[in-house]
Amino acid sequence: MAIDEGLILRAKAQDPEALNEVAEYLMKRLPPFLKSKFHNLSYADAEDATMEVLEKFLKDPISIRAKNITSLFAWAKKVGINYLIDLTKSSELKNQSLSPVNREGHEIDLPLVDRDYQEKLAQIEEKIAVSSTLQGALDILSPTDKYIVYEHHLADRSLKAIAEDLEMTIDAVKQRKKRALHTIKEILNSQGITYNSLP
Amino acid sequence: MSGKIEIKEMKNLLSEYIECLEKGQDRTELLEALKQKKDISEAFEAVYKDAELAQFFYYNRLAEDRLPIMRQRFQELRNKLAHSETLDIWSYLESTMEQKGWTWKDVLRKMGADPRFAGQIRNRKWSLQRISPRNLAHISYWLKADPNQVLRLSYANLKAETASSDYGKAAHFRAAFDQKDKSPDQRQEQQDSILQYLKELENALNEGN
Repeated sequence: MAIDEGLILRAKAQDPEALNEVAEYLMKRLPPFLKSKFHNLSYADAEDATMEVLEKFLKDPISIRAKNITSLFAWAKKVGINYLIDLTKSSELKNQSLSPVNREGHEIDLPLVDRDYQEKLAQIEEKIAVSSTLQGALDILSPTDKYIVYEHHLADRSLKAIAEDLEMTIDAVKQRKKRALHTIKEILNSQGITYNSLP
Repeated sequence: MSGKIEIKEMKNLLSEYIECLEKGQDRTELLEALKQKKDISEAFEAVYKDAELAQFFYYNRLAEDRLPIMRQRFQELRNKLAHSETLDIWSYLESTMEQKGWTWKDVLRKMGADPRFAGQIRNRKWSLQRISPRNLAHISYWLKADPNQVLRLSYANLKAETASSDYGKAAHFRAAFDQKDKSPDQRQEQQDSILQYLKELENALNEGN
């Protein structure tokens, strides 16, 4: 059996020394790699992605088929990249939509388009309608779902941080966020408002 | 002539970028500006590659510098996910058996083994290596035990068994499903034997998933 195969096996079996060795390997190499792939994200995001990788390894090592350090690093890169892609997508979603209402439920950010007055007025009225419907839709959500949507999309907090607040898994938070956004979309659609940027 | 000027501009940008990196600032817009011109010629591409290399070294150094912080975060993560129970593999399997209303006798019968060995397992006069990895994976599957726990606790048990002075003295405890009758003397051989068992167990547990 190759030396690194034994190392990975022992780490999967939660041997403290092997775990530290594997973690050290990933903590040295993964953040620089991820940062080089995602210039626009911060180094702290790359570090968060690395911690996500390590958490997955600690939680369910059996499901990871890697048998040596090279294949483990390949798996880690894939998980890290997926984490950062999700982060980028959620950041884009935040920038595209949900801007009519801030965290307190007022302050509408209106697009300033140089058209005639009537058209601008119509836009403002539509935005107010959207804002009002959106607030109504948010009010329908459970307190937990509302917290997730507010914190993630309006306060720009990571799902990981929210999951820690709520003592839930990231997957559960993602699932709740998806369901909540789906509910909002349905309510907006029922009012004749289409928000394509919502998933 | 204009090409020469541009390459000079590229090199200036590269110098500026490296200077910023040395100050701890990654001006990615400079890197982006170099990237946009890299396809003009090989010389342009070479400058861009140098910038990428500088960035690579910068982040590798940063990763080294930030290692203590990352170690701390990893430790906190491990503490958060730490298994609070101090169960051994036998107690863990017995706790899952209880949930199903089974006993070791039921498990041994299901395996086609002699149920009279149940008492020896209960009294911990049994070696894990006397149950093949495949059979242990079958037991885990029947009991719907967590395969990660089974792997973790099996490893802890095997380590403890080989460290014990009684290791290898329990040769009279045999079962029909027993495939192992080894008592390796050398430490390395013991370690290899444990790893071989773990490897087979991991494969068998994965097949069960």
